[in-house]
Parts: sequence; structure tokens; C-alpha cells
Amino acid sequence: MSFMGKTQTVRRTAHSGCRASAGASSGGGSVLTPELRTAVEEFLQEHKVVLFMKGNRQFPQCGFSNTCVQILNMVQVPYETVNILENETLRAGMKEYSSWPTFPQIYIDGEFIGGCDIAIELYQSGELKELVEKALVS
Amino acid sequence: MVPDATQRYKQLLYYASKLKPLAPEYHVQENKVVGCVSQVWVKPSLGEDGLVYFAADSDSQLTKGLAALLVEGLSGATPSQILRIQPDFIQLLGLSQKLTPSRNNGFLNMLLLMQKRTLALFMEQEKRRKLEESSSASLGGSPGVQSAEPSGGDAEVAGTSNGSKEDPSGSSSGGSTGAAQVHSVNGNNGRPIYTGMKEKLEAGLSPVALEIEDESHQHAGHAGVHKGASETHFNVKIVSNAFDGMNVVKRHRAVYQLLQEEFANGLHALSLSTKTPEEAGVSKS
Repeated sequence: MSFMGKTQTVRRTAHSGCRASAGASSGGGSVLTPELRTAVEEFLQEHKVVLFMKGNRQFPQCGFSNTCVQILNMVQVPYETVNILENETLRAGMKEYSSWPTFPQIYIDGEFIGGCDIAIELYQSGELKELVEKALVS
Repeated sequence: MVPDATQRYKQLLYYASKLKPLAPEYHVQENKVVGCVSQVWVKPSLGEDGLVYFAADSDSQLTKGLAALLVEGLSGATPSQILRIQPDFIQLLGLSQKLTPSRNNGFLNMLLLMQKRTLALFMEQEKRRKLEESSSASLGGSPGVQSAEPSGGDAEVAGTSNGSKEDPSGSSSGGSTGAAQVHSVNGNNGRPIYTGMKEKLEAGLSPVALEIEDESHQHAGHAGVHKGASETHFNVKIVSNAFDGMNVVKRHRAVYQLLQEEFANGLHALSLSTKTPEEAGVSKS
């Protein structure tokens, strides 16, 4: 089953009554069920570079997401994108998983790297290319 | 750290038994941890020394133990130390496997509530101090000048920041919020998100420099933001000693943690610049 498919079935078993779209971690319960967490972990293990973004690489739907797409394109690395606009559960779940309230979110080799500002910094310093190359050979 | 998981569990119960009880009058809604299976209350208080001390209670032994752990660990810290704690220490305690997901969640929420109440308490104190300072500065004339409450004089200070009123004394009187110099572009006319952010960042990071710019207009109408919303996207530049020794992700997380309420109330995105004074080429003050 595709990652999106998996995370969308998880939605039915997720904690009910959460305002997933607001992603309010200070409020009620957790959206990040063990099943969702596992699905995310597996996906991150399968793909070396993942961008959780708004829209997709052909049609980014936010300036910050677009910037990340452009940066990853320039680094010339194969990467997966996940459109969190298509899935409110995932959108809220990833905020918890990453302890990061915003998108885009970049993962390299299963590790959270940062958002757009961090991607820009790392790209400019050359670190991003290094991280990516290290991940590809690991 | 206690090596065996079962032993850790027993230790928790031991802590529970030693926790001083919290007087029933503090078993109120604002002190109650949300998202916890049992009932848990936490109450911070500011000591004379400016440090935060906690008291807590619960109707279940296990959660009492967890609360006691937090009380022990966090009492005697400064407000900004408390606010800067990242939840990942929970992993370090090695309890996560022994606790069910909802217990883990409850523990996290306990920490979050403690941070939230600490912040509220700290804000209240800061407001009181500012009022005292500005009234003793005796500007005379119209009472409407200050950011003070509408009824003037010694009005009741609300528990959480009164978002709709702007604080003009921030830059001029200098001394009230420590060394923070606030340059705000785009003017401040009492916008709640902007105000909330400014206060929390000042309280939590004691910045040497802080700039907050509303860039919502640049993002109006983009996906995921409902049309017409303002105060959704900000550019924030912070220079603070608190960032020393933190990598970039940690720094951003520290900022996000302080602004959880804002994110829940419509703040959508932040462009962050987080530097230490040395990195910014500013002298330490």
C-alpha cells in the first residue's frame, strides 16, 4: 500500500475529536498513533531524502515549499515529496513526529534536518550536499 | 539513571509517595493537565529569588510519580530555563517503553502545562513591574498613554497577556524587559499574535536584539491559509545568548516551543534568523 494510502487508513483509527488541521500540540490528545508513527518511520527508511511539503514538486503551493524543491533540485539528489495538504492526519502527525509546527520539513536518512530557512543555510554552506551524499552511500 | 525499567517504574511510585500534597483549592481548571487519562494538577509559583517552584497533585499514583519527577527536576530553575526545556529529555529518562502512549502523552502535556503556567506567571509579574515603573515615572497627564488596563490606576492584571493592548514603553524605558531593544517594522497597533510573540520571545530568550516583521501580505491566498487571514506569516530575527551551543534545529525548536499558543491561534509560518551575539557581531550586554 502506498504511504498516503497507509496514512489515510490510519486516520480512521486515530484519536477522535482532534483538531488535526490546527495541529495544536498544546491542546488535547495526540494524532500520532503508534500505527502512524510506524508508517512514517518505514517510509523514512525506504527513502533517503524526503520533503514533506505543500503541493508537489511540479506545483508547489507555498513559497517556502517551493524554495526547498528548488534547493533539492540544485543539489541533484533523488527525493520523495509528500503533499501534506492532501492528508490532515499526516499534517498534524508530522508536526508531532518532528516537533516542528510548520512545513516544509526535510528528512535526510531518516533524520529531521529542518525547514526552509535551515535548508537555505545548509545549502549555502555546502553542508546539504554533504549530508545528501553521505545518505546516498549509507 | 536507574538501569532497570521495572526499577524505574518503582522509583516513580516512590516519588509519588513523597510528593507534597497540593491544597484542594488549587485543583482548578487552569492548573489541570489536558489530555491525561487521570486527573493531574500542576501549579507553579515564583519565589522571592525569581526562581520557579512547582507543586502538583494527581488522583493516580503513577501520574503522581511522573508529576513529582517534573516537580523535583524543574523546581528552582529560572523561568527562561523552564521555557527552554525540550521534550526530548523524556526519552532520556527511559520511561517511554514502560508507559502506554497515553501516559507518555500525559507526561508531555504535564511539561507543556508547566511551561505555559510558568510563562503566564512570569508575564503577570512583568506586567505588574512595568505598571509600577511607569506609574512611578509619573508622566502625569492622560491615563490613556500607557499600555495599562482601560480603567487606569491599579487595575486588575489578567493572568495571561492582554493581547489587544500594545506596549509602547518597550523601547523607551529600556530597563523593564532587560536588554531587549525592539525594532518593529510595519508599526504596532495592538495585534495579538505580534504582541504575544514579542512578549514570549523576550521572556523566554532574553534577546539582545529582536525584530518581528509581519509578512502575511506576501502569502495571502496561498494554499492552507484561509483567505483574509492576517498575522499568519512573520519574519523574526533574534539575537540571544540562549542560542549558544545549540545547533540550528534546536534553536528553531526553542522558538517554536515558546510560541505554541500563537500557532494554535492562527500563526502559520515563521522565517527565523537565530544568532548568538558573537555571530551577529553584537557586543554581549
